[in-house]
Amino acid sequence: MGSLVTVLKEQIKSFYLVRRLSFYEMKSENNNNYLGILWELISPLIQIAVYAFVFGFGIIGSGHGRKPVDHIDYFSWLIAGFCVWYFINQAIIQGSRSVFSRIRMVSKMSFPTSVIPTYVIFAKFYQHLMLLVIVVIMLQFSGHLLSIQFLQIPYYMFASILFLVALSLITSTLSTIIRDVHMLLQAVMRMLLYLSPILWLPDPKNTTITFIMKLNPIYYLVEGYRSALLGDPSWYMLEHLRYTIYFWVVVIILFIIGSKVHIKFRDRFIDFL
Amino acid sequence: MTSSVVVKNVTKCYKMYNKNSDKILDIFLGNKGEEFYALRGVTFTAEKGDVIGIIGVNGSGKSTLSNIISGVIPPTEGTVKSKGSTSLIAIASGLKSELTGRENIELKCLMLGFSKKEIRKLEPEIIEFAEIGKFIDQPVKSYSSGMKSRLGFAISVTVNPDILVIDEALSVGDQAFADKCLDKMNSFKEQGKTIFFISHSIGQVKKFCDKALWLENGMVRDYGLIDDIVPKYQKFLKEYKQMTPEQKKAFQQDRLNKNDNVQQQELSPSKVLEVKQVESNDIPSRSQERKHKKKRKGNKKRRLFTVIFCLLVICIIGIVGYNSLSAESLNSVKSVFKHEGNSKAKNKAVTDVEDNGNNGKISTNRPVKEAKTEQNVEMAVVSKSQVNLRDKASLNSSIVGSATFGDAFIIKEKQSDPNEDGVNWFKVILPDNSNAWVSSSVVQDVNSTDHEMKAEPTLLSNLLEQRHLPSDLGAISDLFSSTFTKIKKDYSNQIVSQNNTGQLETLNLSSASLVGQTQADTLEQVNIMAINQNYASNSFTNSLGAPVLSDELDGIYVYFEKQLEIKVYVSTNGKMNKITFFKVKK
Repeated sequence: MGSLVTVLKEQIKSFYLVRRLSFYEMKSENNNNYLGILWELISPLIQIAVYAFVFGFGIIGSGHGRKPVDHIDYFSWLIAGFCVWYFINQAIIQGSRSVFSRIRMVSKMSFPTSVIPTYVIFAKFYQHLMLLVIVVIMLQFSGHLLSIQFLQIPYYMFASILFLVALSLITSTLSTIIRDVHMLLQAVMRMLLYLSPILWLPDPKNTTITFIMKLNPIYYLVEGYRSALLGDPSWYMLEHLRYTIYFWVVVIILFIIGSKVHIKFRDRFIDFL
Repeated sequence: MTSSVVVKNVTKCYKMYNKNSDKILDIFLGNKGEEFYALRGVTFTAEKGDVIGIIGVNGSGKSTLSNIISGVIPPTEGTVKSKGSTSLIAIASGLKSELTGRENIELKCLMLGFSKKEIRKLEPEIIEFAEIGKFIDQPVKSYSSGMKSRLGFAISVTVNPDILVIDEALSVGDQAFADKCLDKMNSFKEQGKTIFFISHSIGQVKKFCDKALWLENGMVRDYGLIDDIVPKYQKFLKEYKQMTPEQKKAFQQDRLNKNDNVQQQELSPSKVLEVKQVESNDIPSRSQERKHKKKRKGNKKRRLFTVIFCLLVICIIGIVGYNSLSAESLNSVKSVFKHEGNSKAKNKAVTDVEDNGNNGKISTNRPVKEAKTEQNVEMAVVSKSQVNLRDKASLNSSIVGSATFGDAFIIKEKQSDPNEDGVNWFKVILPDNSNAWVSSSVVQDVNSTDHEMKAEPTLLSNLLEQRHLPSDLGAISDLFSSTFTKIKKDYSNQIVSQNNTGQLETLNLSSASLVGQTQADTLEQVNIMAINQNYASNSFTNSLGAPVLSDELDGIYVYFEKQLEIKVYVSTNGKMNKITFFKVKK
């Protein structure tokens, strides 16, 4: 518990630093391209276009367009979920490599290493905000007007950031010690795209499959975003109160494990390079 | 005076792993890998305002200590207490190559904990100090190494740290910038900041520092006023330079062993200036005990492992042997079946062969092969005029000798250079039976059987006969295997004169000479001189065939025959001069 408090304190104390550093992080990543930060939007939009064509029109729709999911047209349904998935995917992969790729530079500075994954995730969060704006505009045109449920969005953003920080504390530590973890994680993330309700939703009548898929906390985040963006009249997080509790228990457990391993190994990070 | 940095019994231990799997096992079990101590029990105190030069030969732990003082790496044991902020200036200054110089300044200051307002104030100062002009708005990746280090230095200096650690950072900039830095540091000195200065330039250390910390193999050899330490260090350097690589190695080993027994015995109190000795006997001894225990445990494990390994190897050999034997008999059986249909006579022959194969095949095959390899010797013949022989297969290793054109050595081992593409190294046997490495780019790889002369030229045997030497090259070759004393006795009636130079003894016959080594009692070389000028070199060399190697300019042609190296020297007028015979040592 002591390590959890230490890490949380460090996060809160260096929040200003996180905001500033994530800005430079984003800048340095896109300095090389002519279109610069625009690429942070272009590449997810291309992916959305391809997935919408393949899964909404090609494979499952067999050329006639796909049946609506939950009474919502497939394209709107897809982009509402995909915008948060893209953020989670990028943040997990970048978060996992955040420590070992930056420790050499950062170790000479006087700031806590537990902040490294956080600011990398925040750099991805800005991109997520931009994508979200685009997606919301697109949804206005396809008839999903903004509703009062949109107010849930900040809650889900907060939830996904906390989840990502907790997870990245574990993955960044492990992949610094054993570089293979990062490779494994990349493979798992590629798979998770198909095992989370991004491109398809399991039949709610098949309870076992739904139950197993719901164990994945990303399920909660994606469905939560959807309900908020698509104007589902109910409040997802209250409607599924038990699932909300499950999600937060998972996040807290991840945070406890993450801060424990991080504190245990952080003095030796530089030795593992 | 107050102490600014207190380093107490600092030890840094790195682990060296032979395999990746050891690394993982060490993380979870904690007893794998070979320990390497970069620092051992380093204890000293720096007062506020001290400028301390850290000196020592390569590998003595200077950079490790500077990293530990500035908090980049944590010590394995011991503590470092420093008052105020520490700033490390090293050549690799940790700039982000994608960002511009200006952005890097902002980023670095941000990481050092400055507010936006302070950064805005510092920025022009840093830019002015770095003197990189318009480049400040270009990405750092386009900077030259001098610009990078200047920017890094400017940032570290301007942020006004309380303790400054400079790790050879001044060696990159030009003289003007180095002077500017020294000025800046002198002003720091006046402000009473603590500075650690690491440099190989004794001159800079002498000019700049008041105290010196002499590290040797990770321990403090001496610590005190600069005027006391530097002369001692210079004297030591002089001795150290004269050591051979082996001695240097032994010296380091010696120091390491000493380390194990007594820690810090070098630091006698009279020499030490304001150094607070810390009672440090307790912790190291305990850790040593632990280490011994571990070792014992490790030995047991290792023995068990070796036994299992041996059993495995025996099993594998057994299986492979069994399989190959059965495959062989299977093959012969197959061949029997194949030939069965042909004719009865053949069939009989085959069965004979089969009989032979089962009994004698394995035993007879080997000696034949061995005999072949004995004849077929791979040699490296030097093809450049002056060639270095080295003690390791790398350009960085030390030179153990040299060889000239036409010198031949037997190749014992081949190895490719890991650093340079296309360069191979040959391990060769020198005449004194020691080994050395030579690069493939300066020698020619010669297979002795490939270059046997088709027929022994009569010209050569005539020449030999005229000098009452055995006319047959085989007999010459045999001379090299008999003792020199015997040769001396055999040719005693022909010897005109003889002279000794060191270990070499030359017997001068009429227009020929035999050179022998007195200590080893072997024949080194056979020379035939004063060759009848009628022999035009062309006709002679043509009769010998194409030379293995030739140096047209100096007129040297190298041949091989019966493992004899035959060198034909031709003078500038195109006439033959001298022929030498030399047998390549095994």
